[in-house]
Amino acid sequence: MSRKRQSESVRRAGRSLVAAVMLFFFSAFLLLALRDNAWQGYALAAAVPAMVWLGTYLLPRLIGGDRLLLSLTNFLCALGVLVLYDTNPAYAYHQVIAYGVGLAAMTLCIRAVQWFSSWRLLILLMAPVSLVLLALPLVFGREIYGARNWLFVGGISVQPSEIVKISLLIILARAMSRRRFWFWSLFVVACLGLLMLQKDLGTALLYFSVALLMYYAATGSLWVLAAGAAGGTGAALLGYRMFAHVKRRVAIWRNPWADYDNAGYQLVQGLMAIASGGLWGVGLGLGSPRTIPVYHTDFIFAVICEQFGLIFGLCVLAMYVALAWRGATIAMGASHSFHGLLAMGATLMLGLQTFVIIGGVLKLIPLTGVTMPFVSYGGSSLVSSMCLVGLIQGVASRNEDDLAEDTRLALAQEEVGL
Amino acid sequence: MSSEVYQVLSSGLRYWFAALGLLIVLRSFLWLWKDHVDKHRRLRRLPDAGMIGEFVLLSGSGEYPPGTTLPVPREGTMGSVRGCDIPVPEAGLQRLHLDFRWEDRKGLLIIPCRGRYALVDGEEATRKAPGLMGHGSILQVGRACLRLRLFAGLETGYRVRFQEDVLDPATPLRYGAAPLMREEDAPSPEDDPGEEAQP
Amino acid sequence: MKRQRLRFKLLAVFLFLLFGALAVYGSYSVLTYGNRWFSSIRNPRVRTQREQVIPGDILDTDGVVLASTDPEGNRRYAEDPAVRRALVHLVGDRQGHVSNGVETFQTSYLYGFQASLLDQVGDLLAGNARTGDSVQLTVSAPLTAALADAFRQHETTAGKPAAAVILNWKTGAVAALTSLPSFDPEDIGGTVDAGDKAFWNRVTQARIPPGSTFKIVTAASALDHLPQAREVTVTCSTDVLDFGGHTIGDYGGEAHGTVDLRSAFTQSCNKMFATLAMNLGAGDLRQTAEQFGFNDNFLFRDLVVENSSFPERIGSDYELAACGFGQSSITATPLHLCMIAAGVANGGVMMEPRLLQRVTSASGSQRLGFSSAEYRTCMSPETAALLGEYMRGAVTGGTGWRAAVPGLTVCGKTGTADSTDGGEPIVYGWFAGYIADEELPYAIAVVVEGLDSGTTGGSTAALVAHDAFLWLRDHRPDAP
Repeated sequence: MSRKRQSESVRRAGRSLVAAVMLFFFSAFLLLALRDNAWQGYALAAAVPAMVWLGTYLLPRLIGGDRLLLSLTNFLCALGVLVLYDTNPAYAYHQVIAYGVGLAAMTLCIRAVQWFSSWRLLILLMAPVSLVLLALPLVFGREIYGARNWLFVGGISVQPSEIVKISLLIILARAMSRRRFWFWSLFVVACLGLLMLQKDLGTALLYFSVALLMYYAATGSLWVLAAGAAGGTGAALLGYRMFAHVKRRVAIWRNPWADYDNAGYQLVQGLMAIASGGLWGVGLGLGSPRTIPVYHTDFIFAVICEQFGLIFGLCVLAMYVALAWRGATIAMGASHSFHGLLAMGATLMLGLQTFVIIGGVLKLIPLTGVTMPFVSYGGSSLVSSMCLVGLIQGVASRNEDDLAEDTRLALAQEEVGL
Repeated sequence: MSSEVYQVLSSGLRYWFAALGLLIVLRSFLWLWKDHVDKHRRLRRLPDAGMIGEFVLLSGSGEYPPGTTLPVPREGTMGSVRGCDIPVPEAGLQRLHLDFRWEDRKGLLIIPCRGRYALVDGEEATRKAPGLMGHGSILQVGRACLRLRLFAGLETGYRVRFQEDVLDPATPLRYGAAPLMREEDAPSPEDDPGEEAQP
Repeated sequence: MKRQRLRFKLLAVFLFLLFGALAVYGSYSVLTYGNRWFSSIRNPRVRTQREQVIPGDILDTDGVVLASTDPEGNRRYAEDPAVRRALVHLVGDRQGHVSNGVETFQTSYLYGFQASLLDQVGDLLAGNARTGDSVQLTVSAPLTAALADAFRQHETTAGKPAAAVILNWKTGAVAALTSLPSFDPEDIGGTVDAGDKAFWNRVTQARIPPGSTFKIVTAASALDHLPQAREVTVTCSTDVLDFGGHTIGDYGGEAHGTVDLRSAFTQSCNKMFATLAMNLGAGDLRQTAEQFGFNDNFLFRDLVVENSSFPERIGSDYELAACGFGQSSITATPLHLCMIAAGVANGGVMMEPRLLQRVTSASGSQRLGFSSAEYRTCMSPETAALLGEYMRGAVTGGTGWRAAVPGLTVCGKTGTADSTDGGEPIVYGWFAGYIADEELPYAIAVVVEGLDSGTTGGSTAALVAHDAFLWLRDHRPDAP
């Protein structure tokens, strides 16, 4: 009885959370629509809350999943659409499409974790495909912002490293849970090498640290963790010596004001935007967020802070923390090592990526060009982040199944007669 | 809307947005907390949650008295240290001796770690060919001899290949004596066709 | 699985720590550096707002208008050209030539970024153009004008680059701040000579070796760390101390005879302080200097001040000895030296320099009032009292005698520092002192750049300080 009551109160908390999220976006898009008096704004004011409702309310009814994770994910995705609509509507329309595709991909990932009991064949297929995908931009890609990590297929640009992220995670979780380290560590090294060739150092750093932390989680070997961290630091130092642009990034990080007009411009504009926002922000649709270079991807957090203020920025951080907390809880609740590692790896991937980019924008660490999960403009990034959440939710629904099985067993025990 | 009016409206609404943001964060953390409490309550009512049965120690080097029961989770490790999911500090066991994993409708897989030795129902289990255990199977690791007892209601596709009555004269059966397999695919030991392990 | 769950928990905690670091660092940096980033003239948001909002007035402590906006929307500065020029570095100019003047650094008030919603709605309904807040400063316009004029009155200082600042040593309020050469913000083209760095606010931006005024710090260090400091005597002859090629002598090759700490301080005997520095060692001396604010990152709320530095690494005995009397690579801004003198006056407690007396919105409500805050405690009250006696001695019967004003208890320390600017030697004359009177709690620092040979801090900067003290005695202002 009490269990039911508890679930009822949780459900009520969930309902008011979803209501708050929908209200937020309804009023925000309405405000922007009033500013421009454009039908697109009114359309989004109806469409985005509807998508939030679809994503947080209907989806878990149909296929199961974690409603809290869905609420937070949907909030962040819709926030991205909102900020993009405010700054550059054309990006927002793309992002809405990506958001829809992301929801579908997430559903697929939830289903995959629910259905597959053996991933063996799949990963044997995924590993070579991943490597080929990572190698493709080197052959066909174009260089953007100093990195050669994009692929253009029929008018759609895709970032293979974002897709590979998912398969890497599944492969690592599987390898670690079955204690097959050596073969698959070669795979990780190959991925890292290809990323280095693409000069996509931020993503390489992310892959490396996630792989290392997952290894630690699976084996508890502090030696390997320390050796890996030392190796990573060594590689970073080597990169600092070898690549001029790494050296430049570090110099900018140490004092962006020194070369304000050229190298430090981006960071300085970001800091100014955050400072201009103050505690409460300048107000949605005001200020000049478009003066920040790459305001739509790397620096979107600065735009959020400018428009909504530091307090709201901290709220966004707290949402990522809640997301990570949920992810870690789900990982800890898993009764199979593979599922636990999958959920924890996805959580780490999302958490570290968020840390790396927000830390870069706030000048806590040198800036590396990774996207802010869910929020930044970019279809590949949005879809892959949604997939990661999908994996976590798949594990959550597995946990639910296991718990239901436990309940069934306990009842069976009573029937047999204790 | 004129830009002056918009400016005032928007700078007024920023408090509204900040308040909603705070509300959402607060609600999420409340939700997390409630779920945490809820889960603890549920687990308290299900003391065997996550477990599929238990190993009963039939004989060993004497660290544990015979008859000791060791709960078996769905997946985990067995070894002589306490960090393992099933700690068996008997002679002959390595710190980390083997991994085991429950697979639905198959049974409990026993995968020894590299260079470790384990006998499942008298047959050696290897990494290539993991041992498969069902209700009543016997696992021999080091000097310890353990018998698996599954909870009622679990399905295995496994047949016990070992005449067990020799080995368990006095094991108490907490969950009743039923073989706990589906009637149709659980042959009784008597009409078990002559398996090679049978003496 | 058991262990793995535990490690998951550890990793989750690790993630939370990372996010905690983000939140703490982000809030800290926005709250402390935010206004510095925001008010940068490179901030395009400020430029936009400047086109829409009428900036508020800037007033001095008695209500004299230092900057205002005329009905045509042009920014106008103080009527009196002398005041305009004396305070131009503090107030700033409309183009932002002076970095971090009030005009730029207080943008968030002047241009109404802090305006409340009610004010905005009121303006909207009344159809008024938005007006920013007006800012009243703690400085006194006549005092600053008199201070700037004092440099012109003396033959030894006229026409030289110079800087002076007066602080209230009880509250830290800036009473006057002027930097020379100055320019007229109403006529920049006609009054600025490209070569003389007129836009530079020397009080907050010039990092100058403090010379003998640093002996205040050395003496404080000796009194704290050497138990027998007050008994030590040194015989000072015309011989120089030799450090393998480098020599230390006294100014003009004087000999002070046998001196103890007090007479060495009042006579400004370099050999004594070189000896003290050698006895203290680099560690103790640096520790005291850092207590006084050297090597600190100054983050004052109302003023942007360059950091002062005491060398992190002292290579040789000669360098250490030179540190004892403020040479080597020690640098400080005039404002910092004024804070040190104020710290002695205030019983060892340095106050944070404050500039804003009151901020008033266009509708007349007060948005911010004056508040004073301690910067840090740099020494014990006993040490401060003793140093005060020494500084009094330097004025009554020592190198700072020219600063003495009848009717006031003036204390102070002179300094003459050598430096090079691109190979060319430059001599700076310093005076840092204060009035030891609770009713007239003012501290001053004066520096004059490029002294003629034969002149010292005592015969240049002390004269200017004397004039400032005289003005204070005659006018007795009652500013915060």
